Amino acid sequence: MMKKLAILICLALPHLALCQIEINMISGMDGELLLEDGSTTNFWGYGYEGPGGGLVLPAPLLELTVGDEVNFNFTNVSAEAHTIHLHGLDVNQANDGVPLTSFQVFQNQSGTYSFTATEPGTYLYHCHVTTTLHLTMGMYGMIVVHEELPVLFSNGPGYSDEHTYLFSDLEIAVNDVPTDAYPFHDIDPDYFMVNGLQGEMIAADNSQAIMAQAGDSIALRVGSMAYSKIVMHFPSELNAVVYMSDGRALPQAFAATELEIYPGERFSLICQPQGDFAQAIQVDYYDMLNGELEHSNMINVIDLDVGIEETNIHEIKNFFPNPARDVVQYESVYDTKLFFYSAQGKCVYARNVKQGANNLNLGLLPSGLYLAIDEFGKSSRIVIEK
Amino acid sequence: MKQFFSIWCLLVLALSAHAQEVTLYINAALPTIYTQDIAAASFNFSPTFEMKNAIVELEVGDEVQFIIHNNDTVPHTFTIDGLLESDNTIAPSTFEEFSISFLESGTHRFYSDLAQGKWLGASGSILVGYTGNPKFHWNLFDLQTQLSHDLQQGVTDMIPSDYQPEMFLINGAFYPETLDDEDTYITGAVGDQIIISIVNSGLMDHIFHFHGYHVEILDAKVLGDRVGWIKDSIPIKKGEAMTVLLVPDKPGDYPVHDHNLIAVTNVGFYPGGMLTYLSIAE
Repeated sequence: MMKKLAILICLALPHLALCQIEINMISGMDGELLLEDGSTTNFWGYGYEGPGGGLVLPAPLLELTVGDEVNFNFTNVSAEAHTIHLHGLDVNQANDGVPLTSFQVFQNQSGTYSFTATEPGTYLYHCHVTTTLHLTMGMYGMIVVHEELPVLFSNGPGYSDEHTYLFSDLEIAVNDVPTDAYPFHDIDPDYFMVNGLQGEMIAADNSQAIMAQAGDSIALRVGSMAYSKIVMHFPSELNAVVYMSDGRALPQAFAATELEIYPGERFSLICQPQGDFAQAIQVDYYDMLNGELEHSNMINVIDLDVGIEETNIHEIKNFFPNPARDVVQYESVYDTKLFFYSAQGKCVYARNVKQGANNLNLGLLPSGLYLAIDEFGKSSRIVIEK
Repeated sequence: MKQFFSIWCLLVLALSAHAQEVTLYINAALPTIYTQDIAAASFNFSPTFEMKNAIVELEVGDEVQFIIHNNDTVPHTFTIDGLLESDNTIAPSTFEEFSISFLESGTHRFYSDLAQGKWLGASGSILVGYTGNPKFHWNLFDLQTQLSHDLQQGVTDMIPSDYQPEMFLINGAFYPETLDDEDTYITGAVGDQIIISIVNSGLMDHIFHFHGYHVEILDAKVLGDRVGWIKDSIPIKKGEAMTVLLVPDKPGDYPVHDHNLIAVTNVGFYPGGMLTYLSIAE
């Protein structure tokens, strides 16, 4: 998304590609966040300018490359002043986004934060005006600085696919009526998110799932803008290894089945799944005051290698016939939408299905194995043979 | 050759080590912090109560004779995790002596391991080593006004599950008063090897975010597995005693603050609490 909207001026040099990147965003205070129960609340945030843009929570993921020279322009169309703090990028004071020592952008004004992405890794950006309130209202996003090659850092481990997960939370009553937020020290989150989604909404968004084959190297970029402490639980079959934190390589990488993430921290991991890894990563949210578990979310992990005969009985009976040439019958236990993914992990087809029997014409799909995932994360395999 | 080197090192350590005597007083009071009349206890260098606990700087190899006066009306202990954890009680209005050797560089926390001690703020810090480096010290503490009185009056000796602190202090001060304390407000120059000794005396975890710079964790009592990590956001867990190294690569004025953002407030007002600044010259 960012690459579509940013203007790139790249100067190709013999051994160095310097890119001048212009990012154009707006900040606003009139976002509407859809909650898991179907209700909505307010959020403040950032988004791209122009058609297809608008405020989103979290703010757009920014993907940069080491050496990029960035002008991060934003126009504030809301009543309160806002800034952009480039959390962890170690920019100079003028571009740090702290009102007292840098600058803030008032209503209907624009500002530019300039920096060079010098270190690969995972970073954040957020508003630093009345930070306690503006963050819980939703003014944050993630930045990933890539190496030229798909490696975490120079001479570091490589990867074939990458997922980013920004954890956050909010107190619905505060977002409903921000003017009642005082006193700020008792902001007490009761809605807990992965990339702005809670609970079943995560499973329903297929882009949140990790789809891999045994032996793949999958990079995970994780960070927290929550008011809770996050603990990620990795299935041991994922073979998760933590290589970086806060944009720096660790002196010693370590295998993790559990990873604590405090507010503002980021980690970069590599997962190399083996065996029966088709499970889920559990994300727990703990109250920072008393240590009590407040909520758990799940990130689905889907094994693209699982053959039809290995899937569970409920799932393999969903399609008939299987293999199929064109029309198949699909039996669903609820109304949902089915997304079909090719073996390359690309979503090639989607359609709504009703509870009960549905006839689907898959005749346009080339021969091959497809993974069908519904909005609740249930997956099935279908083989198309011509 | 290796044996000779080891003997030489021990000899150097013995020659550079000092016998020290450190006298501390455990004082209790009912001070006013911001708008809050609280109950507090503190380790001070004099019999007069100060909200800021004593900071002790030592050299590696120092053998220290601590003389601890308990000026309070309740018993206290003088506890240093891993070094002094038993036979360390001091009855009211008496004093005790404890001898401890400090053989490695790093930060320690000393505290009274009783509810009317540690949870009322009686918790100081010791930094061993790093001779010649500019040194700063942050002692983190969070408090809930009513709980402090309940603890002081013996109504409870527990932290309730609905603990809700409204004050967040560094060295006994809240922002902007943190900028008036020379141990809290960091000043230096590009290239300085700045040592920051951090202890968490509070009742909850905190996480400090450095603007402008990353720092290296040199030692840590709780998160010891993170020694050597270079970070900008560092969890300082309950009871932690940690040393970090900051080597500024550019000039500037930058905030450093708790990124659990309820803690950058004073009784709910932003900005406040656990917030200080770095001021780095060319």
